[in-house]
Amino acid sequence: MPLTDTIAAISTPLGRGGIGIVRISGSEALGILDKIFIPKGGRKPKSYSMRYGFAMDGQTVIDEVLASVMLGPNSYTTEDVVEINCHGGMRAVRSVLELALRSGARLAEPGEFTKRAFINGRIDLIQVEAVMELIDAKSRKAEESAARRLAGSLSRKISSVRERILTLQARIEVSIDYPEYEDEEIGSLEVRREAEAAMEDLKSLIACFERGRVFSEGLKVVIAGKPNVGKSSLLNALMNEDRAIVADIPGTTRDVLSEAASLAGVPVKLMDTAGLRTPEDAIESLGVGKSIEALEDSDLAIWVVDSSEALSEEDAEACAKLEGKKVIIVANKNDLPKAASMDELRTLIPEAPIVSVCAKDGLGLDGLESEISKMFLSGEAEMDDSEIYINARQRQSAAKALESLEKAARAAGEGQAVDLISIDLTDACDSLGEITGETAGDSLVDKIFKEFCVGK
Amino acid sequence: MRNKGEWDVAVVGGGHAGCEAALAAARLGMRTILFAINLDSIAMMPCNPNIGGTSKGHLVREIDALGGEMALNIDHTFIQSRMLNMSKGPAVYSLRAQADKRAYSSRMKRVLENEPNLALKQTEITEIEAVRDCGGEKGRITGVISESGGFYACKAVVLCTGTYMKARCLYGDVIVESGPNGLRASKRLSDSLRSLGISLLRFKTGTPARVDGKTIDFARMTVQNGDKDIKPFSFRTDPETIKRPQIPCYLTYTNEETHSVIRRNLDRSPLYSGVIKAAGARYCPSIEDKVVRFSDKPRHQVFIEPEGEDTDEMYISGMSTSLPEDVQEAMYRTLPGMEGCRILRNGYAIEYDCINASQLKLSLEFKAWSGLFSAGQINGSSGYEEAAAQGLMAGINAARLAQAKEPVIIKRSEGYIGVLIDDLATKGAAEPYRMMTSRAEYRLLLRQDNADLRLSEKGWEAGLVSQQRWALTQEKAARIHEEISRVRKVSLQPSKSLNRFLEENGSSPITSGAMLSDLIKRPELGYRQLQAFDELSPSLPEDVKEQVEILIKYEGYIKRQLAQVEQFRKIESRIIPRGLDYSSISGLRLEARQKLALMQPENLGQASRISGVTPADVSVLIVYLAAAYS
Repeated sequence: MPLTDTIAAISTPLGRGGIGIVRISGSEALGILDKIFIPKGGRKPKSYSMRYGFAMDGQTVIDEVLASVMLGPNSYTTEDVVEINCHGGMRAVRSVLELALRSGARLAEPGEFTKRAFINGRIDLIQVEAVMELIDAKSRKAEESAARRLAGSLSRKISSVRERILTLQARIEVSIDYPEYEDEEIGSLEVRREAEAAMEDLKSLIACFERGRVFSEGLKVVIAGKPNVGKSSLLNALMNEDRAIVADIPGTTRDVLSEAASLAGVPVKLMDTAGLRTPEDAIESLGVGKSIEALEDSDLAIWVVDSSEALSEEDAEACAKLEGKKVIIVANKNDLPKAASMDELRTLIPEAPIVSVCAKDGLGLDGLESEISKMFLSGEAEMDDSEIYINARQRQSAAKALESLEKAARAAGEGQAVDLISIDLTDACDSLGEITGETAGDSLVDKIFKEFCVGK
Repeated sequence: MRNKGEWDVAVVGGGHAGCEAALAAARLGMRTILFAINLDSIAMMPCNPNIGGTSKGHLVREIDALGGEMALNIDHTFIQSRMLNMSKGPAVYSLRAQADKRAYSSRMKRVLENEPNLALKQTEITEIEAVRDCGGEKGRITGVISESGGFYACKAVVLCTGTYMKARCLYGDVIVESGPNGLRASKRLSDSLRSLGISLLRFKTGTPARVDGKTIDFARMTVQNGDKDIKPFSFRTDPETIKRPQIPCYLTYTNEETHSVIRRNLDRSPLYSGVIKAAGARYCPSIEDKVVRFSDKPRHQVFIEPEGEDTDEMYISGMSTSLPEDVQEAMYRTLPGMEGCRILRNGYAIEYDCINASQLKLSLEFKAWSGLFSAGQINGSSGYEEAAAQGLMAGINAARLAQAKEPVIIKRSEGYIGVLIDDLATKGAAEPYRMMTSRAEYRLLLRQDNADLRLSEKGWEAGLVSQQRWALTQEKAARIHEEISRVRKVSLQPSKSLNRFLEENGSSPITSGAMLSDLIKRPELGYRQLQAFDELSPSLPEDVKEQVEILIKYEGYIKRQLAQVEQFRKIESRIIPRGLDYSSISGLRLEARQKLALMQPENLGQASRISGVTPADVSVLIVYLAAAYS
């Protein structure tokens, strides 16, 4: 059986902190520990205890380590689990792992410990996803949320929206299955109203998710603008280091540079892009294409203009590419005399805030940070405890549900037959059920009988 | 025990399931015998006097497409016909006909009598004979034994015992040990089943009183007439041949007085006094249930339906009851128009033994007993149409077993019959099971109008649909296909007459050329209406036009359901190896392990529909099967 072999992996992120842990799970875990670990004083570790000793490759000491043992079924994977805490940095951790592999363990696939916990019945699917995120959480906030999800608050919120759709659906079903009962008739106007109400519920939930995502995945920010307005300088200023090549030659940046940073406490993926203009050669053309791709995928565009020059055709061209995006306008080079008209800028994208900076000297960046914070955190640095964070798959399901509801509302508005509208409502329920693990089937029929007085 | 000959198929019971089962087996060339406790009760309708309605009408059409009898029988004996749900979408149009109960029953008896391979016998079957394998838990059927000790050897048995096994009827404090309508109950057969290790349930259903129409003032009720244009149930019936004057039904309402009569006497109902413990159906609540559970409703609808052409008996639909006789009288007399009514037959509740259908394969054969099939209310369903549909499939599969052929299974994606049988066999029924359109996942595809196109091929393959009929269906399909391809290429140019027509129908006029198919898709328009503007439009039969219209108009929705069916087929095609040891799959929750071990689902799709098996359990199964068998 493939599930009974013993797996091993480094279970702390590489390159972070001084301690590295090698985790081993499976029926051979204790046997492998015996081969590669000599406890000081000779006493072997008992379950749920730690022993100090040495990791040994034959007669050679590799590192001084702490070894802990968790016997199944009371371990994370429900199998026997051994963890070896190494102190000697990454090289020692790798050596201990290699030692474990040579002694009979197989290298674990990514997430395989969690997969085993799942298959062995220790945790369910939603919990698996939450654990995956815990491992991956990039900020403390997201970590807290992942912990809350294990307790089911996500399921509850989604369920209540789903319940609302289910009720509407049950009313339609009753009117179809019991056409002779006039009290239970439902018109398309009412269907539309109810579908729209459910849409509102779902939209506000999705807005919560959106803010949650900012914390758990990081905000994707594209720095855009016509060539040579100082986009790369801005990236460097925000990163506090020289990552992008800066030169006064327009079109210097040919590729999309991507860097992780933290702005206003929000994890951010900053992307410097080639200047948005009609390209002059094939390579630049590729670069511009990539810029546009990056833009489409982003959460926020920082549009950089050179405030020391009057706005040009090229600025307008770049601006046109930002349509439909959240935008902050950065008026760069404020150390030079101002030539661009701020009023004109304002009319180009009326809803975008304008921040004046000098990227070269790193001045005015706090203004930019506070605008980002305003835009994505509603001005609050700390978020409400009831906020929910969900992962990409779940967000996609929620978006699909919203789309189905929109279709249903539109069809109802056109006076489409209720039976056809119910197809979209079913899709919406199914999509939400994908998040919570509930399936329609019987719950709908139960609802019909519980809430409606029909039958011969 | 006297030897009463050798048979291929024996059918126990002559209700709606038994009739279809016996006809199907006999028509497939099997020497078939049908037993009924009383031959006058063949195809009896002991409750509502109608056939069809939502989802049930679909079943009747499917039975017809597969070569069954029910549709033809009602086409020849109806007294009123209506197509319901006309405003709610083509998939839920539902044909319902009021039947002349006696005519329905005697015509069906005549059809059985005329069937060459079929013998009828009035007797009670009291025992099933079987040989066990060495283990004793499983085995094979060898025949049935009658009340008089006759042994009928047979290869297959179809149990269609309806509501007769250990039946008792109750109202007030009256308990009668009988089947419906005073007919004798079957007292011993369920013990014989139990001795085979078959687990039994006890269900309850009920019926309202029948009232003398001469004592009802119909002028004080709302009249409900039949449709002018009558659509037959059977694809084989020519609408011209079944035109007849129709008989109306009537609508009235309960009121506060009715409810207070009921409330005052609740303690005298066996339902509330605790005498009835069997599981009743939520969708078929008695009037006392309605009044208690929906106490805020000021009134409930009541339909007065004639039981036939040559009788004054009226069925009081919506008011089934097991209250005492005096309360029934007082209660019905509170209805407007019924102040002086006289009850001919009291309403009553009926309790009966049925089986847990999760003991069946999808062929309706018992998992543990080769050759033993069961169909109809014995499987926990309710309704004439549900019974007939199961009877037909059990009859076909009993015949195929006798001929050593693979069973015919209708999938959930192919018909309501598939949904019905899969639900019963996969989930079992905790209460009498009624077919509903909401139980069908792909109902836009499973329309009553296309049952012939969906299922004739299966009926032809099984041998119940003639070559000629199958050829006609294929021809129809080809014409539909051809016309749709033609229409897709037609574009209409703006013209005064077209735009005037559009505006008259509340549709926006066109300014440049428009595709005909796009105009057909507008909710306010249709294929037939636009034919006048389509110069090359061929003359086609109505049923072809209907399909063309639906398939073009709802193309988008239909495509989506087809994609879902594709998904369904994928999971349905993942076979679970027989005898899989679920206890060794530790990721499954305990309940799922037990249910799966008990049910032994045939594929992952069926496993996912077992109650108590969660999506997470299915994921575990998927991972496990992938890991163990890759």
